[in-house]
Amino acid sequence: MKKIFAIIMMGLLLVACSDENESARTPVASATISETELEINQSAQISFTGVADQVVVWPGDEGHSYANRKAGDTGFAMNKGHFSYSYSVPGEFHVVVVASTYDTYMGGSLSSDTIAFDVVVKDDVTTIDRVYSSITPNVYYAELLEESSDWVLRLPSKQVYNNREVTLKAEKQRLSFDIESDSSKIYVDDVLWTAKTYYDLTKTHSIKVESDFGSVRDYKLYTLIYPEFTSVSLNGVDGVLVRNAFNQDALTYQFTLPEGTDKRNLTLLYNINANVKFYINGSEMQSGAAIDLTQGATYTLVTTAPENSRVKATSIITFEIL
Amino acid sequence: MNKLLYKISVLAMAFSMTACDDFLDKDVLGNATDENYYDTRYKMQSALDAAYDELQSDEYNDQEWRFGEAMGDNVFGTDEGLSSQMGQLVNFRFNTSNTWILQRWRVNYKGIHRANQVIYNIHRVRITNDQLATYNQVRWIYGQAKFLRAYYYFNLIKTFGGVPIRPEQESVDSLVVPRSTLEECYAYVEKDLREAAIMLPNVYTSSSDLGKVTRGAAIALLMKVLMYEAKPGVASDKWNEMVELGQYMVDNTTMTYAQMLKYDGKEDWETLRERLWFKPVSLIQNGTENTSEYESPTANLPTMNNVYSLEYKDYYGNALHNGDKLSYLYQFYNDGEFSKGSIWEINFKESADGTSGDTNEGQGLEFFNVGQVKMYATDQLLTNIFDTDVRKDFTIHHQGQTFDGEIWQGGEGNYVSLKWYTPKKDKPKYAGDNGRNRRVLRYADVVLMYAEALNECGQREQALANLNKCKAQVNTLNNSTKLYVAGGYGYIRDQIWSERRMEFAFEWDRYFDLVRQGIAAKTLHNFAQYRATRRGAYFREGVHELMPIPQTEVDVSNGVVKQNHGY
Repeated sequence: MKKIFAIIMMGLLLVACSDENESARTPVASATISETELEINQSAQISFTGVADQVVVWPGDEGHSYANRKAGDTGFAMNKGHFSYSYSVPGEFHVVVVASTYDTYMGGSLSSDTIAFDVVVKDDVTTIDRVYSSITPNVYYAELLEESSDWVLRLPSKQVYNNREVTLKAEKQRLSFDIESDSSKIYVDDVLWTAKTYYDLTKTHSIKVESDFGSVRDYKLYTLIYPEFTSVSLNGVDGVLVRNAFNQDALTYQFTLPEGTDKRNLTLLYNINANVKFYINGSEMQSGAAIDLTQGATYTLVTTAPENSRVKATSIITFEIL
Repeated sequence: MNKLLYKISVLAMAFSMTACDDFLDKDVLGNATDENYYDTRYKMQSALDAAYDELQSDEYNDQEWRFGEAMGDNVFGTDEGLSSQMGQLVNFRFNTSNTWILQRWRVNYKGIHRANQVIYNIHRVRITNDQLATYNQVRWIYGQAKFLRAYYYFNLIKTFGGVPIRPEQESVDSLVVPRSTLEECYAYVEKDLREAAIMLPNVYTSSSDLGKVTRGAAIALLMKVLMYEAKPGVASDKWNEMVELGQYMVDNTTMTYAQMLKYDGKEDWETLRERLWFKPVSLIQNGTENTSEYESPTANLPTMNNVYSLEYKDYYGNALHNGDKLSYLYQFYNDGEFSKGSIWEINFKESADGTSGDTNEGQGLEFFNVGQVKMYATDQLLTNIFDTDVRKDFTIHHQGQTFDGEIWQGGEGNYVSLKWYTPKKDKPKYAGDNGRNRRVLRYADVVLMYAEALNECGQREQALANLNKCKAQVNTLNNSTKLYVAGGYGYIRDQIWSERRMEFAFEWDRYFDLVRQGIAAKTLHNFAQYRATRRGAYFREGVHELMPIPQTEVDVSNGVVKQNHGY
């Protein structure tokens, strides 16, 4: 009886120790992909639904091409049947999902099955995020024209650097564009933009952005110089322009008037360019009018672009009596 | 008969067990449960210590330098090969299962969990008297926990964006928490910091409290949080709020409790006071509000006059290293601990010689040698940024003798940070007999944040003045008169950023500064051109500004915790 019991126990032990995976299963590559048309940086999710001991995904972009697997390209091991990936460059990519099975004896009897998807990644960015010009020491940022996609860049005629006035040569400056794509091409007046090219920033430029996908968007870049008086006097005394190093649109005109001059009644004479107007508290003021400097009014000079009356550059004027 | 006896005895046993019911049901005396454990401020202090303790661990500091410094453009490391998880991280070739990304997630949530223990249970504290000092002690513990929770969450937010806000009391019913939006997370952190700012003292009077979080630390971190919320070049209330806080911290203006809290009156003021452990009005001189023990919404917070300084002086106000050139460097050594230029420090290294005796012990950070990994200053930092700045001599070391005669031969072209050097006089004789603090928030940071906010608000002249406060302090090292100069918005901003890069080089903040400035892609792509490994070239604008949520978190939540864009 004991012998029979021992034999039965040994038999059970053998059964318990048997390896069900001794021979490899037949792999079945079956998977789904969330989308096959993607934007740059848009994630695609791949879900594996087949049979495999190990799943590797080859997204097909640089360094991860299944066709180049023997040339050093690598795939990504899938974790728990889920894999997500996004592409940094546009193009058509051949995604290969490899399902592998093997037996438990040193990974032998390796069998594989593959399934593939073709993914198209579009780069259709034509939006300009920022336009600016770096003119030592300052950076001048263009502003978006309200209710429009056109840009307005305003520059001073001179800027203060290290307590010295330096003339700004707007006719020859570089332009910079921030755009969320390395593939999109920018054209300035139909010529391909480069960061090292000099542009005449006294003129309006037409800008065209062409995406890798082929979409085209047109912009205008208006450029204006902050207006100044060509000459200005109070009671016949000429003003001296003092610029502000911090704010290029702030101009102070200093006047050395005789002591005891009535600041409430001063005669203002000025000359300005044709497209410039002088305003006090928003109302136009002609040369020769009397002004009261004790009232704390707001004085502005406004230039209007000849091509578009909505495009303006405003200088804030301060009259200072010494 | 035997059967009958057997039945009787079984019944008797059953009855006797019933009779024992009361005995068995008695409460066990002296048993500590989550309901009754946190009943004294001493136990609360113990729980708070645990929240601080995470900051001292290797696992915390290991991920701090990896993300804050190694991913940026100040340094290159000896572990940048793509075969390692670290190499993949700094090259932006990682996947969502990267070890270090997971570690950053986990250690910060560990800290949050510990801070939550204090915050959730603070109402259980029983006090034995109505002394103002007793309320202060409990409130300060509470305020520190709020600060620490905000700090840990801020680490997560700036790394991952909006993250799950864990319930203060964890339960099996709420293991999976979806991500909150970025705005919700920032609001949560801001609330904690604003409350901490009114709860904590300007300074602690006892030397045994050195290193504890103060009001200044809460405000400094709040300014940083606001700075990360705002975008350079875009008008925002956050910049305006930073200016108000900067005026309080730097210009010593007054600020009321209501202003600090942005109090809107929705919560009854007395309820708020009691919730935050201010002494209840009913216990103050028969309930009068007109005493120094009562804080009204319109009462001024104590001013910050003489609390902090840019000068290189020690805790007692004495010039560091006799006021010579090395005083700058000694801010970062033992002599400079808790000085007026230091707002908050973390004791991260229990043994300054780098020997490791326990799991909390930092390892070999001298010369910026992190474990087996070394990080060296890049040429661009040395030539383009520091150029002729006097701090270069006191921030970076090359071959040969250090200022105190230590020999270091790290190889030609390898420049190491002296901020992590341990001077010979501070070196311990025995393992574990010395400490080392890392400066996390410095007063110079507050002044430069204030300057940046002023510039963003159009107050460029004041911005330049504050920027030059920092520069003038540096000039005391070599009697230089060189200051930053006036310019437009972009020029002032760029000068502030350049000064930040020099002043805080190797302080584990560079990478996040780049991201929040919005120039990470441009800077790292440019950086890649100078590196043989092209490190930085794979930074993808619009994606890598945020790290991926660790894959395990997405998996265990069954997709409830959503992945970041682009991963």
